[in-house]
Amino acid sequence: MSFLHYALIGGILASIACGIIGPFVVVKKISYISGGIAHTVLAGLGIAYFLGGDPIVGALIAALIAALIIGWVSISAKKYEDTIISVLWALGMAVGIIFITKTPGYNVDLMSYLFGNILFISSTDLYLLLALDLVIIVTVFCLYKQFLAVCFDAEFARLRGLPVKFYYLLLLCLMALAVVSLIQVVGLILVMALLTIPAAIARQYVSSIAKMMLVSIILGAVFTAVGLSLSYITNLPTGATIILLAGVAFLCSTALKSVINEVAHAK
Amino acid sequence: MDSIIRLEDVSFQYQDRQIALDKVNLTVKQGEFLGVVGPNGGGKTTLLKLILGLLIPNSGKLTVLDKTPKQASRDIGYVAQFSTFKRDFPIKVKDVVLMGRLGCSGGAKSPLDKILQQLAIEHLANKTIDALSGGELQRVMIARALISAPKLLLLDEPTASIDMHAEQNIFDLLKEINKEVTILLVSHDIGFISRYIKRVVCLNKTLICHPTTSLTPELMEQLYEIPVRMIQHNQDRTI
Repeated sequence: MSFLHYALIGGILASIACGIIGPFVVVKKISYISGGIAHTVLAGLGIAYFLGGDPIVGALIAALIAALIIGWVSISAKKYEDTIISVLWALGMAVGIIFITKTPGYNVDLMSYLFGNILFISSTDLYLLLALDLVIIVTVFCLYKQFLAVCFDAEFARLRGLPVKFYYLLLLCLMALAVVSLIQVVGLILVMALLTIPAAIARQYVSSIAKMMLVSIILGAVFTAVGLSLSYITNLPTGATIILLAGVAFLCSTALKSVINEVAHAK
Repeated sequence: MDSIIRLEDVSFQYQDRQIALDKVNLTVKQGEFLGVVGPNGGGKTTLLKLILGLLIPNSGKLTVLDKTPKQASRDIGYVAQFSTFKRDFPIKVKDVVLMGRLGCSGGAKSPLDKILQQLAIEHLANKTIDALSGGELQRVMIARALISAPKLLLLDEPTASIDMHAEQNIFDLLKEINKEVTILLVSHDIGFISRYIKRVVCLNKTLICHPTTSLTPELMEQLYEIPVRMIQHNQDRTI
């Protein structure tokens, strides 16, 4: 298989992860949390690099720690949530850059972490993406009702005896896994776009979280596949091309939706 | 077990704030339809939260269905004052109602069709909640509270965000539901609820109990601490 095949499969696997988690992020309006997690990941990458470990393991650990810290603050001291995300966001970047520049010998390409390196994706990376997908699919499939209740009406869920805090933290941890899987494809700066745009478009046309997931997965796969070919033809950076495509699609869809609404009102 | 709720000298105080409830004694019997009225900040919502087990009394004894409120919570249906969810959440009416079954053990639940029919919202089952009027949404909330077949239904200002006509319908509906379920309802609109409810208690940190018919202007002023304008709603009953 060529590197393009690897990139395509990687893109589709990442689309599955973000397609399942994205709808929760969009309806619960927590995309800022996903941004915080994504940027904290650089600390994990940098430290793992410095210590000579696998960067992706470092990324996973950092993402999960960030998710738990933000989730815990969000539950116990909601008014500091915004602050703690900003602090982690900046701190993660700073720690990451310090460790990466202090790593002796061959210096890593910082840009590939920030903006993605889908063309360098390896078969090991693909297995990891597949594993992350499986964890996300199985967990959300088994606990769909619970996640839905916690996102829709946490107070009512708590009255029904549901361990609301546990499910919320679990959902944020799954979000951390989705973020890590997306970093391979579009880099940590652009993660938020691919996590939210497909779900946001889906929301304009369908009326349940489950359907939003299905549409988001398809849209994510289309964006990465088409973005990949466009970047190959035009020799533009892949991650940025994918996001540009997704962003333009979102704007077009929003315009189309408002026209549809106008027509429906006029009738 | 004929007392569904029993409070003995229950007091509660939020941290660093004035006392919210002061030595409240109250017994709600099986099959009752009890109204709780009182001014804003009088402790109505605090009382509901204590019964639901969301708050713990500082002193006194509180049992619900002869259990602690936490143990009883799955047998309580609760309709909150302000919807705690976003109206634009993409979810269908029937999925909202089914959410009321969360945490139910297998046997104790009512069929979805029956509940939707009872609340006259079958035709809305597949609509998303953003398409509903205030009165329709209130019915959906009551359906969600009833589908777990609760022994006690608590409602916090169920008519606050709906118009007069819908309000009347909701009360007629609650009267029907009351044939099977004990109801405790909190409202500021005393004139209206007194036409429907058998017993009203007035809450302003402390509690005054009486049947609806004996509510006098003096009592009202004592409760609300300001002169209260009385409107006579119908000929045979003065409030």
